[in-house]
Amino acid sequence: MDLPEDTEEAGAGGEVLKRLGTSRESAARLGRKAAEAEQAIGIHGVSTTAGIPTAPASAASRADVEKRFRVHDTPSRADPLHRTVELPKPVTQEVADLFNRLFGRS
Amino acid sequence: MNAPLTVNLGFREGSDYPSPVTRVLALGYYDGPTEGVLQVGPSGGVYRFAMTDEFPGEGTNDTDLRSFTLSPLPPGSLDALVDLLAKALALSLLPDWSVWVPVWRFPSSAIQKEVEGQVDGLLQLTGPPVWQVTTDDLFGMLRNVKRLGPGAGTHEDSAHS
Repeated sequence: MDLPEDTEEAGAGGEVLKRLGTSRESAARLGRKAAEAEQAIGIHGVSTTAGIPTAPASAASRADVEKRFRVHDTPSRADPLHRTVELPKPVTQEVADLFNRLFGRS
Repeated sequence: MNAPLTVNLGFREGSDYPSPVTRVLALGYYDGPTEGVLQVGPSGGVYRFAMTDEFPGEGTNDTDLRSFTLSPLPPGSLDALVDLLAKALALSLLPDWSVWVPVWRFPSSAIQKEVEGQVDGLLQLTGPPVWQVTTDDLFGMLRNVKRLGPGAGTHEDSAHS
């Protein structure tokens, strides 16, 4: 998997990304959500927040995630700390395994 | 004699029917719109929507069902919000969109504060919730639609129009 080349949106040292839910996510599920996000926000990726999650969530340091995936700051009115973790197309089993491992989902 | 054919472009109580939603401005997004303003039909009712519950994996093909409340806004509210945000975010060209999730990043904090005040002003005109919609796709099949409030049990779309 290619590492992100443009990391200018990084630099939020110590930031922790939280993704709602604690269960492992399948490649199909991640791929579907990434495709929906691409339609809506133009980034093939899934939602996380650097803020306080609204429900049980798993977490990963942004720095660790950015070693493998690009992370975009995508603030919304409702969540100024919304982040989108860009996933490659297609989302393969390898990608899903890596994503789940980063977020501590077994 | 056959009854005249009518086309219902709004919501009605029921299950498993195609969504009448045509445009969504999402002010909150988490793996899909969580709150914002939507429009029904090409120039129909406008509602503020807010997600109230989520049922992971309970939709078609393991998608997530989400429940939303819909509260009516005056006609033109969506266009007014879009114009306001497009100017504030310095969009030179409005995208051809059915869903727009504006990235909430403004040229300055002063502009952001001013815009948020204007957005709040438009959203203050929201009426009480009139529909509860459960779906895995606001533009797809609606799993269940219930009327809320004192008019519950009637079937017409009650948005301002």
